[in-house]
Amino acid sequence: MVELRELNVGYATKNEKNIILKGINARLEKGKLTCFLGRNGAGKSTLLKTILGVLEPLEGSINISGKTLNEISANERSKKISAVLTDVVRIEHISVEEFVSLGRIPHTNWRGSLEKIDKQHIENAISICEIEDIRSKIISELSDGQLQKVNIARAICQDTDLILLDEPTAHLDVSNKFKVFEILRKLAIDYKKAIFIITHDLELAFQNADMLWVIDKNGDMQSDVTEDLLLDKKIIDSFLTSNFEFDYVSGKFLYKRESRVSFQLIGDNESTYWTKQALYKNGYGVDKKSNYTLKIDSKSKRWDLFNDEKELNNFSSIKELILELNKLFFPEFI
Amino acid sequence: MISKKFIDIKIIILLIVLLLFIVLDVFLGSVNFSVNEFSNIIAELGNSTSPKSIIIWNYRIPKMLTSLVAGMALPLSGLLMQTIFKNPLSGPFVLGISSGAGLGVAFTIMMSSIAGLSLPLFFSEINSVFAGTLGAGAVMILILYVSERVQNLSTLLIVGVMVGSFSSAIIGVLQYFSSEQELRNFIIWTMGSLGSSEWSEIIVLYSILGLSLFATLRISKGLNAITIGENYAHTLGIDVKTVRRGTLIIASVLAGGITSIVGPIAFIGLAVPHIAKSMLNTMDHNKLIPFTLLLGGILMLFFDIISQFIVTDQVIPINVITSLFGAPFVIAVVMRRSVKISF
Repeated sequence: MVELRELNVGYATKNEKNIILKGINARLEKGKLTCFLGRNGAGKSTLLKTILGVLEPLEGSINISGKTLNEISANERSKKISAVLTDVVRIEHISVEEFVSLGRIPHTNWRGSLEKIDKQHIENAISICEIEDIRSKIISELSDGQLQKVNIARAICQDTDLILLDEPTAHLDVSNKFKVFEILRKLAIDYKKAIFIITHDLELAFQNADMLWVIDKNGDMQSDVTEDLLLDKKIIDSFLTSNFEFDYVSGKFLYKRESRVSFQLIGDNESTYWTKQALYKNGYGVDKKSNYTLKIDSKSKRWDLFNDEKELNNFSSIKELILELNKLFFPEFI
Repeated sequence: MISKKFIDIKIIILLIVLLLFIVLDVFLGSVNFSVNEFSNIIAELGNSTSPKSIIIWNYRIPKMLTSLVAGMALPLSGLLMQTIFKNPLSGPFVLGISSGAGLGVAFTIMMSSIAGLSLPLFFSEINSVFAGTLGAGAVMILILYVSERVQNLSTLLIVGVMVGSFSSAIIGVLQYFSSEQELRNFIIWTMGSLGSSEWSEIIVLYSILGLSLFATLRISKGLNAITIGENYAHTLGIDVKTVRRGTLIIASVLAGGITSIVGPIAFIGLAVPHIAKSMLNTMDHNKLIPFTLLLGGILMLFFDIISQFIVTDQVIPINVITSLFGAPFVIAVVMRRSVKISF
């Protein structure tokens, strides 16, 4: 549906071109949810602006359904691409329903009168985003989560094959983040839209994205099926700082303080996972080669600490475990 | 969304009130008429030369028409600016467009002393409209220039305030060198007067309003899109630059034309669009524009009527009345907003 070929993006002044991302070759497909990852300032928004036609491509081309971006008019473009941006839209005197209806602007006549078909699109968008109960509320009275759903409804109402979203889950609580991704997945799967999301919620991206576009440490962009990129392992390094590690089994990032003592963990997945979390937070590590072993029996809630084969102690909660480990290994801090 | 019916009822009520105020504005004044007398004079359509007929047809009706056009044009200009600058405190005054018009008018009234020339042409009122619009236009071009280079809207408002100060300074210089009579004429102009316009001027003002209204309705869809931000308007396929330029031109022609004839009338342009938005709770310009026009006309006629009754035998300058009502209103708007923001 959208194809980027040998694309360089950035800002051009009269005398010089400031290329921010170069040599981009990638595609966005209908029915696929694509997440675009990269550090702040890596050029994600610049690429988004270029696809939206705010910036001209410095080199290369963007093709939408077989036509290049500059071959189509602004109105035609707005029937193919809609966007949810990071711009604040807390306006007074405008209801949710009226706000959503603005998505019909590319399709209406010169006065913007809403016909029957427009009203159907509005109703449909409102029901996809499940915002029926707030439809007559004023925009400036909404919570962040409600506002984001309303803004997505407006983009859905625009009835485009491609929807671009710039950090749609920033500032949202966990349940709203899930809700937003649920809506976006539904749009990709049930409505065959191409969904393109700039996000910093890596774990949500890994769980939900069919495709990933990632800007790595060297500023090069790679795109592939999510799982292929993850199994390749190199890509995660772009996001890690020394205090984090990525758990390839759970798909989560773990905070790790510099560890002076490491343990081998034996037990079921759930209890080892949370024990590991607690150890990391408190400055301990996990290492399969360590002389210290923690055996966890989750049924009887028991943690046994061994040094080689010799049992040193046992604990009945993580609270007790951490307290005793601190006494044992860092008595000077107690 | 408000039902169409609901809006229709409100429009009909406003229309009736407007008609009532139109009649009252012509009927009431320092010379009293009986109802019979009044309806006879109206029915004569100005063909009689009786003194009372002359009062009605040559004085009160032109004044009513001037109030009406000022009451419709200034709020329309204010509505457009509030949409373009996304700032509820925007109005012809805040952006310095009225100051620019004032400067233009100051030149036509007081220039002859400085130039040492007698330019009789300059004193014809139509030239004053021209000079006012020119002054407003010059400020508009400056604002346009700044707005296309600076993203920050507060910067633009500061530029507007500075233009106001700059104009006052130039006007101050002009006043220093001008004759007593010229000074007097200019001061009277700054107080705002609805009652001294010629039929030719009234025709000019209504033509400006008509053309502006037509142009505004052509871009109302773009204005609706811009209410949620220029970037979003772009994604909706709107040519933001054209809409913004067009809107600024319309807003300055309206403000410049009116200001040059009736003087700077404060707050109407800012307050009326607010009232319309609060009454309708919509940002749809196709609905806001008729409401703004009707409310503005009603309010201006109301101010004109009471300006004749506060002090008997004396007509209070219209700008005094609008400021008396308008300034507290603006403070209320600011307070309401800052309370909202701080939470």
